[in-house]
Amino acid sequence: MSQKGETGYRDIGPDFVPRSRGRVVCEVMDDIAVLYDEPSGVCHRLNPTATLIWSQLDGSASVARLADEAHRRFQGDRSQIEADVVALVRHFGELGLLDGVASRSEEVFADESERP
Amino acid sequence: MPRNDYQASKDSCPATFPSDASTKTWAWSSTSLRAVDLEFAIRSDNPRLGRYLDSIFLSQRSGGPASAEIFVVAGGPDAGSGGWDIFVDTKPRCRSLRAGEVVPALLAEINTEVIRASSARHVFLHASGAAQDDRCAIFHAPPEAGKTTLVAGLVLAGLKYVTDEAVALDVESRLIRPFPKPLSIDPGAWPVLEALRPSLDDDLAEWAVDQWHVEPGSIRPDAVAGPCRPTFVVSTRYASGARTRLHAVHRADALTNLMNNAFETNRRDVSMFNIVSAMVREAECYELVVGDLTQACELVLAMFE
Repeated sequence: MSQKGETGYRDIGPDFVPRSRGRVVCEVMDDIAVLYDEPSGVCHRLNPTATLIWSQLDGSASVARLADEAHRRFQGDRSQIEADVVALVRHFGELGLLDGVASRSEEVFADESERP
Repeated sequence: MPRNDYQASKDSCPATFPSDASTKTWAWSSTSLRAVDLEFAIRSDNPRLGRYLDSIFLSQRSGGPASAEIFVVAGGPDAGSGGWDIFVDTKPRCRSLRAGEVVPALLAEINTEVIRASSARHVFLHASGAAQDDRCAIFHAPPEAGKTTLVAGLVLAGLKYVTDEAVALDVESRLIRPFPKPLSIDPGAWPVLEALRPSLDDDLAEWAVDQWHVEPGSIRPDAVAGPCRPTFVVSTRYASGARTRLHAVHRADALTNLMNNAFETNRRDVSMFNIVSAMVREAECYELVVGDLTQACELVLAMFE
């Protein structure tokens, strides 16, 4: 369940075009990104692959396109790479780091507010 | 998010400030004390407690102006009360404390006010610190992970004391300002820090039954550091029976741990993130697993060489 106008993070698929939230600050240290989400005050440490994907979340490329880029760079099974990228972008959404995506906590509060 | 080690477990407190407090002559009042940007004083209606507090706050005497922030410890059996109450500028903070709980609670309240009063010019890291010359090692860890024990061992081994709880990073100079509060040593560390066992008159012993409070200048006269550079950032954890080891970690891990372990009362915004990021970029970052205090101190001393 998501809030009005927002995509539920579980609904993110290959056609979704992700964009990072402006409030999230990214600091890259030796190829590893640390994301700081100011409203929650929480930092997230990414691995190098996630750092590469995060750097491309500017609202111009779909998840499938990001998977194509990752496939070109890392080779391997294209369908598995796409599944991994979908899972990663969903996780970003779950943490509240994407524009227009309801995080897990936002979904919980939305569910609670709809109870009779 | 952690607050501080004491606050995590304290109750709310509707005690009432003594009605005669404004006209009262307190049995004991401290001289002006200073910690980072906080000028403060402590008062009590119990002279024995006053003698004890005098002995543990020597390194924080400022000789400065009349203190703005007043901490009061009132009550106790001598006053016919069931326990001790702590007030900060007449506002109740803790009530019905046992004697052994009074100083840990008072130190926690002072920590909170130091951070609140000093946050405009400092970022506070939930960490202990020890220095050699102008280089400081910051040992960050969650509560009860051995921050004080390690820094106490290091001061005994010759390093200078910065703090055992809250490292104050000056946002302008990017230097660390010492916060030489009394070292608060919990009973679990007493066997390995026997050299710091307080030598107290019998009538003062009750204040130290739950925790030792070691005035840093009592370890040696020059034990307190001056302003120093954050040179090493060390994620620290005590693990009983573990092999003691020190190894390099990625700066991203150090930054994440420092930010996620920040004080609630500290500033928490993008500027703090940027200041801590810049500090971490310039530092060497390690993880220290402490199974044996002596070995851990040797590893840290070698890190400085």
